[in-house]
Amino acid sequence: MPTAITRRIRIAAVLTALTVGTALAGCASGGTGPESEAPIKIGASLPLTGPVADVSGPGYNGYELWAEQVNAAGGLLGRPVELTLLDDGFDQDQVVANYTRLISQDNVDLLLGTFSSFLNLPASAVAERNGMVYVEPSGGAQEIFEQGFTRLFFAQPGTSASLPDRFVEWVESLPADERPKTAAYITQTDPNTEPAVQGFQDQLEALGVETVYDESYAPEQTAFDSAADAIKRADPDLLVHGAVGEDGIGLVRSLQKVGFSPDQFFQTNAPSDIAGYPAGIGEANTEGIFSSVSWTPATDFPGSQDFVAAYEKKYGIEPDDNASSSYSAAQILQAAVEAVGEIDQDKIAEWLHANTVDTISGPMSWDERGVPAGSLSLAQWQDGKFVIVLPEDAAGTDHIVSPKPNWVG
Amino acid sequence: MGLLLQTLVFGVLLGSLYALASSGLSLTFGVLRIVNLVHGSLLITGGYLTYTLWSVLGGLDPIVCILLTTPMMGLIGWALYTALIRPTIAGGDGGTMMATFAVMIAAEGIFALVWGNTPLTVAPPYARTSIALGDLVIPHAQLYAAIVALVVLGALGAVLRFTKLGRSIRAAASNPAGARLVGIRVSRVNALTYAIGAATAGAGGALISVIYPLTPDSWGAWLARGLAIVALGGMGSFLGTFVAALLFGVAETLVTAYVSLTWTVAVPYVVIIAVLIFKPRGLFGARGRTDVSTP
Repeated sequence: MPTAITRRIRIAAVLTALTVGTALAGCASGGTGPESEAPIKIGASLPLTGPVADVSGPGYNGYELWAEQVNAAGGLLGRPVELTLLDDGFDQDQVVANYTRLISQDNVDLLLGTFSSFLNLPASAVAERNGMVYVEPSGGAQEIFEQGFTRLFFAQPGTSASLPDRFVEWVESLPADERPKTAAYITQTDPNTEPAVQGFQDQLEALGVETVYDESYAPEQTAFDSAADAIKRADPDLLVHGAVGEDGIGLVRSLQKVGFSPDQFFQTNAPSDIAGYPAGIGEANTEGIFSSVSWTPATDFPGSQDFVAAYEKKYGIEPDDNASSSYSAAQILQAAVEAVGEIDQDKIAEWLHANTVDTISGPMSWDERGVPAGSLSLAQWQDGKFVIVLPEDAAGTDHIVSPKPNWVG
Repeated sequence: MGLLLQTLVFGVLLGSLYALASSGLSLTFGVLRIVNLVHGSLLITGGYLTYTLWSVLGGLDPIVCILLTTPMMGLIGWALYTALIRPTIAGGDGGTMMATFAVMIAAEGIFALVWGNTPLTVAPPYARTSIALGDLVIPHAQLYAAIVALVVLGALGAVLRFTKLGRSIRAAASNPAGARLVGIRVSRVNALTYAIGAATAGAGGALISVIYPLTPDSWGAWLARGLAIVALGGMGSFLGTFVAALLFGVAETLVTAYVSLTWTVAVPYVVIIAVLIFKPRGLFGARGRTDVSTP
């Protein structure tokens, strides 16, 4: 049984951490006056190498483009912005070391988040301990928001908990005889996709969709033929796949080889890789595949199209939702700093909890946990394009492809 | 019954690809006694080269690409051995291990710089198709991989056993001092052996690129699997490598079909532990003569 003493020690520890954190934050915001022309230092660590490097490359570009534009427009609070972006190789220890270094050695004024729930989970804890506001462009796993943090803000319209919402709404809207009767669920063991796929299963079972297959696999898994064969034998109407990266292409290719095409197919993350996904599975085979996204290049929120144009001009390639997420995260931080008028972590956090920020991913506001008020959109590959189909006001098309056509060679 | 047969077929095909991927490692590890941590990276290099050839030469068949990637990889292997591995041999196992470890880490960065971080796939028409025999499915690409694996392993075994080069390689490996006495240029033979090991990665990489997406960090899974297969098969035995790789493939698919997909990736590690405990020399490992070959 925890005694009163251990509890007191724990409270003392928390208080000490808070005091030190506030003191550090105080130091960081200290030098006004003579230093006002000095740059505002903003730090982040990204998994620029390792298994999710493909995701963080565009994320890096999003931060960089934002800083360039802010500096071209006279800087933040009249001071130039200086980004320090470190590589953590998708390693949890390294991401903790990097954020600790940014705060205590590089003395950055502000932080921006990293990519993936796997990294944001420990990184957000470092920020919180040090009293720093932490706006994360990615990392929508539910457990991140259940740590009791007060300075954490998610820069996408909805977290992973909202990931199944639009799809389930759509299934619910179908006439009874067109709804899938059975479903298979397969996911990588990942803090983001696993709870999301569980969410699908819970909500669809509540709608009466019977589960006929339910498996998960480790990130090291490369061979999917046997798994695809097992799914074929279970013969579900609907297949939900919690993919993280190239496992998305891997499973689809195996499904093609065993000759199984579900009537409805939802896959996380992988389908939004607009260039690699069609190349990997065959362009014609993308037709009808669902995924959820925070943003697409066709999104028409204020500033979104300017962002697409500027990004294409600078990098020569269309931005994806990772680029838009990091750009949005930086926009959120910028809005709060400008509204508060100084670098004060307490006031920035307080302002963000009380206000709505317009970003290229739409207007955003947060609850006390840092969870945004909205939901992710449902997108689908149609005629070789990845378009939002729900909600209707953001949709780039007026119809939904269902059932999904068979694989074609 | 259908499930068992299908699972075994997938397992044998997967195992053949593993055998192809591990054959070079079996050579460097078994014959040269170098823990070649860079072998996974060599395979991925072979895969990326195939991707480049395939996309630049307008869809040249990846299996035809093997004719080009094999000498290219052999050359890379030769350069690698001469420049980085040979100078560290004096440092013993630790020396070569550190050298290959360093190259392994650096290679990931090079892949990312040259080919980028997004997954790349080589997609000839047969990459996603299968032969159907009733209910039984035999994926084309895996079948080709199995055939190439048999050819490569058979050729390697024949070279080692029946040619003068093979005798030199075996002599240089088992007794360098004695080999030198009879006129074998040990240092050159060893470099050639390493180059042959790397060359097999040209074939292995080509087939891997057809079956799995390539990313700069894909080397990890292939290295772990390769080391486990060579340990299980026994050092320097190509038959052992082949049988061990088949066992691996079948074990993985059986676990996927009958236990749980979640446990599949644990198979190599469980095998390594079991081999170390019960059969430290592997299935076909010969009791090497260490009395004369001690340097």
